[in-house]
Amino acid sequence: MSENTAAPAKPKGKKRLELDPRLAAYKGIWVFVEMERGQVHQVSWELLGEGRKLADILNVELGAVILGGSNDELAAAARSAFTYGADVAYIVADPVLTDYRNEPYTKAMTDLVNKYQPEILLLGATTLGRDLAGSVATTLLTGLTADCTELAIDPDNRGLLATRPTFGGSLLCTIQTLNYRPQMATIRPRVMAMPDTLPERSGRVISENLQMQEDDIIAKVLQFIPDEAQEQAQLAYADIIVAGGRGMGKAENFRLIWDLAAVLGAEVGGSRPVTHAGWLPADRQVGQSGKTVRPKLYIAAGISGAIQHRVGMESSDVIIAINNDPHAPIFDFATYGIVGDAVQILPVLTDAFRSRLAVNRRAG
Amino acid sequence: MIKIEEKLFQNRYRVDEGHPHIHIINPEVCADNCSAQSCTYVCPAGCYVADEKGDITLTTDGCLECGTCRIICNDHHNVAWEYPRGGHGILFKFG
Ligand SMILES: Cc1cc2nc3c(=O)[nH]c(=O)nc-3n(C[C@H](O)[C@H](O)[C@H](O)COP(=O)(O)OP(=O)(O)OC[C@H]3O[C@@H](n4cnc5c(N)ncnc54)[C@H](O)[C@@H]3O)c2cc1C
Ligand code: SF4
Ligand code: SF4
Repeated sequence: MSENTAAPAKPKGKKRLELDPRLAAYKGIWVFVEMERGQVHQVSWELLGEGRKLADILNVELGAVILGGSNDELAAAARSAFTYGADVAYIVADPVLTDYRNEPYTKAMTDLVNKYQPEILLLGATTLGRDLAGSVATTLLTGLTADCTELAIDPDNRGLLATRPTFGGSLLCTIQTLNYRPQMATIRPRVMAMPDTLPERSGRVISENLQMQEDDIIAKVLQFIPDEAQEQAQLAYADIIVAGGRGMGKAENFRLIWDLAAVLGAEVGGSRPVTHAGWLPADRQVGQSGKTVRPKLYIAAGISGAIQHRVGMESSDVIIAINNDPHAPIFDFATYGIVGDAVQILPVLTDAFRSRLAVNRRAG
Repeated sequence: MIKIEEKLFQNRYRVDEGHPHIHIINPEVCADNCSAQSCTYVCPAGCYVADEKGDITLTTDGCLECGTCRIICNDHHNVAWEYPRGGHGILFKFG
């Protein structure tokens, strides 16, 4: 830039840009349905739930993009996508899309976007989603906000307000893509609530072909090595977690936690002192240096609720705290609190749930 | 009252999971031979905690790497003290 080219004066306050008329044609919200080995990642359904809300605000259609190798799997995923709120499913079935590879997925996605022109494109911030989103956004020359935790629509300009934590979570920044389309965002798994299914719901299926030969693709998948850890603690995806802290007193008392978890079909978690003492394996630690969880129900027995524990579980839908100290900090943010000895209360709860669930089963 | 934990939460750490950098060499010495248990009073991060029986638990997650515990245990030399591995431990920002 030459020195006497004055920079255009920055408008004061909120920027208002006229959207390029060619981009004004972009309509609708899309969610990328992430599928691996026939399994849809749960974040995709969470995003359809969130996408539905945004689509209703904007009064546009919600589309699900489903890419893969097998027609049957894609069709099944499309049916599920409809029950979670999608109006349209865009399907590309091609053998080169069987395993995830950046190149063919980017091509399939960008072809779809260029043809059908959605205004918003959402992906899960999984390893796969983050990889794909970056190349799709740079190919389309549009804006992408990574790892968002909140989405909203700007009432002024119908734009997407994508909010994400930054600087290690100490700041939340809201980012807008003002004059490029689609507005892209990846969203952190387990942040958006799982939507209810409407089993009767159905929608349109639009199938497209991918113009790509296997020989054109540089990356080859030689072997797939499944993650052994899949068999172990799945705290991040549990609907119910029963967690114990130092207040459980000793390792043997953790049997009470496991018993309650077994009756509820829950995962078992714990606080730092508990994993430190070896009462629980380290991969069950919840908190700042452990797992962040967002179950529907978190039962915390003998956990004080220190900030480092709290940050890992406070977004649970319902938190039940059992603690013998009525002043324990956990009562400040628990939904329900029981003041008492966890070692006595847990077996009573377990029995109550067991007989209640047995009645329900008989009735059902 | 603000707890130490809450102040420690202002710090930045990269906890080296499963590799504590400080060890108590012989827990029996703490329980049976050390009447002062000075480490439980002087550690600025509250890493050393004594229970009613006199057993000491050491959790190094919040350790500020000041070295006090190593020096204060002069009578018993019961603390095996190392720095955390590179990139781990307390990461002072504007320290
Ligand atoms: C850098 C750093 C990272 C950390 N990361 C984590 C982390 O990821 N996860 C984590 O959990 N912590 C973490 N911590 C530790 C955290 O600060 C707390 O020390 C810890 O969470 C406390 O665990 P607790 O609640 O089990 O134990 P305590 O704080 O000892 O609380 C025990 C509670 O049990 C109650 N109690 C006692 N007896 C009974 C009984 N019979 N019935 C019912 N209640 C009873 C007590 O009233 C008390 O409230 C971290 C700390 C640091 C410095
Ligand atoms: S001062 Fe040393 S010997 Fe005494 S309790 Fe602490 S670590 Fe143990
Ligand atoms: S080095 Fe300092 S902060 Fe760390 S445990 Fe020892 S006394 Fe505590």
